[in-house]
Amino acid sequence: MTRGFFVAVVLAALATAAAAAWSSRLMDRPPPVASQLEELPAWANQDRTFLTKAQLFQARANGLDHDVQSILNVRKRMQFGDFVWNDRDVPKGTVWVRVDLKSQLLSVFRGGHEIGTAVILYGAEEKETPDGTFPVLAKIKDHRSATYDNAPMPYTLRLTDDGVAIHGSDVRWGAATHGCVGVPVEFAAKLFDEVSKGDQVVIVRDRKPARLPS
Amino acid sequence: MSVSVTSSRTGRRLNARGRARRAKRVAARRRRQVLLSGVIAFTAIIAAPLSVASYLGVETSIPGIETAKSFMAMMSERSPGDRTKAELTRTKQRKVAAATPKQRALGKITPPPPPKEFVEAIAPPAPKIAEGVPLAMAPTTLGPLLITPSTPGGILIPPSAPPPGGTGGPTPPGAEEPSPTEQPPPPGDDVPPATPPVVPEPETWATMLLGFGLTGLMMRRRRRKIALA
Repeated sequence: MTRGFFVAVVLAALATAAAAAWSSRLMDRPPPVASQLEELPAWANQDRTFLTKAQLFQARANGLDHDVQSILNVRKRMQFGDFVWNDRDVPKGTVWVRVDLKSQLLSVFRGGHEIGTAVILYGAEEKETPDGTFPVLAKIKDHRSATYDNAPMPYTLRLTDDGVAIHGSDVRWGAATHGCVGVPVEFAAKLFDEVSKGDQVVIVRDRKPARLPS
Repeated sequence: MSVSVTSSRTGRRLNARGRARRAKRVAARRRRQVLLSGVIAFTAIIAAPLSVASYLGVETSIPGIETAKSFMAMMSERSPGDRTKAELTRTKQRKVAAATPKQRALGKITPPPPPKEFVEAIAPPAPKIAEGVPLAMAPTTLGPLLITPSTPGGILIPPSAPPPGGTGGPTPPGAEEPSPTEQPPPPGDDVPPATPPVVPEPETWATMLLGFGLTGLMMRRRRRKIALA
C-alpha cells in the first residue's frame, strides 16, 4: 500500500519535474554555438538579445537594410505611448532609425545595437507616410507646423522637403498623423539628441509586398 | 498489503533462520522507503523553482541567446499590432472658420433691437436656448421624475437662473452623447488580451495527473479499509 503510494508520488513528481524543465526551455533549447558565445561583448546582459548569423541572414532576406547585432528585450507588448530606451554600454557607431508602419514601431540603432524603441503614430490613409530611406535633413527642437496651424512639433527630425518628419506627439490609440511619424515626446527628446543630420531613417510600409517585383 | 499478509503467515512458524530473513526483509523495505522519499524530496526541490519560474513567466534561459525566433517575429511580438482606427490628430487640424456669421457690408436694414428689459418682460427667454451650454453639467442622474414645471403661470424667471433640474427635461437622460475625448478605445484593440493557451501547459497536466492519482489512492485505501473492517 505505502509502496504503491510512494511509487505514484515519485512518478508524479518526476513527471512534474520533466514538465517544468521542458516548459522552462531547459530541454528543447538548441545548444549554443561556441563561437557565438565568444563573440558576445562583455556588457551583454538580459536587457538585449543578440542575433545569430542565421537570424541576421533571415532578417536581411526579409528586407532589413542594415546589419543588426542586438535588439532590446521588450518582454511585453508595447502600448500606445510606451517606449524603451537603453543605450547603456553600447559603443559609439552609425546611427540609423527603422520605422515599421505596419507594426507601428520605431527602432533606433547605434553601431548595430538597438538602443531605443517606441510605438508610433503615422499618416492617415489620405495623408500617407512615404516609405523608403531618408536622411535627416534638419533638426529643429521647438518646431511649429507651418502647414497645420502652428501645431507644436517638438524635436522635429525633418525627412522630406514637403514636411514629413519624426517629432514628438501625443501617441494614443486611434490617432493618425498628417504624414509625419509621431513618437512620445520624451522619446523624441532622446531621439533628437541621438540622431544627427544626415543619419538614415528607413521607413518600411509592409514587409512582403514592398519587396516583391511588381 | 499482500507482502504483510504472507509475512504474517510465515511468522507463525518461525525459526531462527526465518526470523533473520524477516528482519532482513524489513530492513530492505525500510531502505527502499528512505530511498523513495529521498527521490521524492529531490524531484520536488528540483521541480519547484522551475515550475514557479515558468508560472511567473521568468526567463530561465541564458540571456543573449535566443536562437528560436526570427528578428521580424521578435519585432512583431512587441508591436501593438496593426492599426485598426486612424483618426487625424486634432491638434493639427486647420482651424475652420468658426460658425460666427460675419456681417456683410450692406446697408443696415435691421432695426435697432428693443431694450433688454422690454424683451424680458414680454417674452422671457425660453429655457431651451440656454440649455446648450450647461447641458453637459446638468445632473442627468436625477431623471425626469424630479422635474417640476419650471414656469408656473406667468411668473417671470430671471434668465440667469435656469430652473434647477429642468434642463434634464427635454432630453431624456442617457440620450446624451459621450464626448469624443472620453470615448475609450474598444478594449480588444488597444489592450491585446493575454490569450490563454488552448492546450494546457505540461505542468498543469502533471498537477492534474498527480491530483487524480492521489484521489484514486485515497479512494482505494478507504475502500480497502472498509472491506477489511
